[in-house]
Amino acid sequence: MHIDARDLDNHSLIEGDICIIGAGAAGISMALDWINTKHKVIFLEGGGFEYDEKVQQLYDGKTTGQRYFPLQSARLHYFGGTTGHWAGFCSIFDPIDFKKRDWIPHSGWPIQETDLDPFYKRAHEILELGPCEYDAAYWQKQDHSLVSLPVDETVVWNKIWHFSPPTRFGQKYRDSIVKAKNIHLYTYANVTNITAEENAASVKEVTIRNYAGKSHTVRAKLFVLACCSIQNARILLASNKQMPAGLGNDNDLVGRFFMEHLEIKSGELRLERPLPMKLYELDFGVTKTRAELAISEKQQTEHKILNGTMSLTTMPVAKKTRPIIDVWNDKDPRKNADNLFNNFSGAGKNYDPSKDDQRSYELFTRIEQAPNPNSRITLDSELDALGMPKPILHWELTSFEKRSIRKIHELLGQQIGKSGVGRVRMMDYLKDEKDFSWPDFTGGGWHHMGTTRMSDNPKQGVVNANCQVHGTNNLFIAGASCYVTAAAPNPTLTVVALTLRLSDHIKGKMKRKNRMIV
Amino acid sequence: MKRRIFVRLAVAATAGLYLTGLGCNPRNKRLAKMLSQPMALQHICDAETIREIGKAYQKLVPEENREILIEVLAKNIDHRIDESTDSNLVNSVLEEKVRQDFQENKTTVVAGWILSVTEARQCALFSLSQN
Repeated sequence: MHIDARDLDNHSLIEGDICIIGAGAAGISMALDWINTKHKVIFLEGGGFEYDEKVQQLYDGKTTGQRYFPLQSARLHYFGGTTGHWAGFCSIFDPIDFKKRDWIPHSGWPIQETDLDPFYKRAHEILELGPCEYDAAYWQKQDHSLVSLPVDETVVWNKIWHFSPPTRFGQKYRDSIVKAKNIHLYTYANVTNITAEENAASVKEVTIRNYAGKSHTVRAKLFVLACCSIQNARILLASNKQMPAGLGNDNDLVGRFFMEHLEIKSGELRLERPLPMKLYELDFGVTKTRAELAISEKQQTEHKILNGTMSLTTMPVAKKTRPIIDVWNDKDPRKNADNLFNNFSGAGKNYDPSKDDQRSYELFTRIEQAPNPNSRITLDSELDALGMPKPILHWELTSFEKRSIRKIHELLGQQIGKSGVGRVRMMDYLKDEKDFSWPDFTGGGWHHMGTTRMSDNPKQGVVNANCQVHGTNNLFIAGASCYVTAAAPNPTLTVVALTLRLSDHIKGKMKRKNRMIV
Repeated sequence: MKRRIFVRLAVAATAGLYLTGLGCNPRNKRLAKMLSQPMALQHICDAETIREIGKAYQKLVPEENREILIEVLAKNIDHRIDESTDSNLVNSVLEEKVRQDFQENKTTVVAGWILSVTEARQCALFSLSQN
């Protein structure tokens, strides 16, 4: 059922078994998983069902450090969250992404890739993806025209991406949520404070506010914070009435290790003669799967680099696309989305393959950033309209990312040279191996990760392997803020998989609790 | 492939071509021209780009001057070429050497290009020959 929190009497008390805070990909995936259970789920969304400029303004904040998108437009603040305009890129993390890598400080998850495998399959259904197959050979068997570039797969391999339609969670799952008797969706319910019991051993209630000037209280046995990496950290840091440093922040970790994917034009593949490239092509709305060029675990280990992939775009089209960071520069995400769409569709509009010699491709790198405690979210002294401190993002990169991008090009260049089909050229900003500055067009992928990172050790992470906030037994976090490292793929698929895993964990926990009571 | 080229050189020698050691005539313009044709790169780049790569290589390895480049490149051809040698033969030998470099990871990054060391030297010689 749906309740508009603006219509409630001021200072209403809302009670349930579970309270899910935030209705984006994570929150909705979890709510769907609880439909028709015997539990009363309180589902809180700060916005409504449609875009609302005043609500969107609540995401405003400052950025320092590396040039970044305006925070106000970097996420969508309504039911469905940023899936309202996402592009649908999905791929799984690699086994190496979960491992402790000696050459990457702060790497290593307390879970492994195999822990997520069953949940990836379920996430595929929610995201309306095809079969959960990530072996390029599987797809090549279905379509023999998907021919690989002649590379040694022990060095460079074809990592498969799937493309969601893209699923707009707000549209696709609104009815299921609203019609579910046990799911109580409250819109215009912005959480502004989490009140814990003494010593923060558990959460007692949360406060919600809206532009109607109303404030309500929500009580539940268990709370799941699913508001995206910036907002999750912001809410925990701002919930500082009992714990001055913020909730879950005994070890000064909340907000730290903010990560983004670097998504950047990086080089060129020039071929002696045209080769079949269908395996790597992307036609939005048509392509269901494609490959990007990835670096093997062995090579990453040997060269001590980060995990990243390269996509290929025919050069005449790529030359006409402006860098994402230059296109997405307005506070209004709708304007930016239009600009972005026009950027890509405009570039491809007059492309005539028959007039292209099809021997030149732009290499575009998508790479994890090294976990960096100085890359972080903090609170501003300035408040938003509901009285919450605004966030400040300090996005900080290191020399590690640049060295890795350079090495990835070298490895691909060696493979392409070895096969005799052409050569690889890296862009000017990568030429000098001693230059660690970044060009103006350096951008991210709107992928916010890592501000409440996972670790079994409370001194190294905000949540444990089950996404429970250390020291607070009924507070859980869903979403990419729990990521320890960012891997190369876009985060949504893993966000959904990790959320479903958390959902299973909470169900098990509640079952055990009920048994104990009986 | 390597064996085939060797045989071709041997045949050329027995046919009466006098293959001299490089050191006898290092400034030979035709010899320099023969050695400065990076075949694979010529398929994908224009002459200006090759010249720029060559200049960048000279900056990276200034000690490799024209004479040294000729000597090092000619060594691949067993020291047995002179101005009358068939340029196609030289190209074939150096193409094979470039492939071999890639197999052995003898690569270098010059002006952003990931190249075999041999073809980078060819570019450098090309660039010097243009001056």
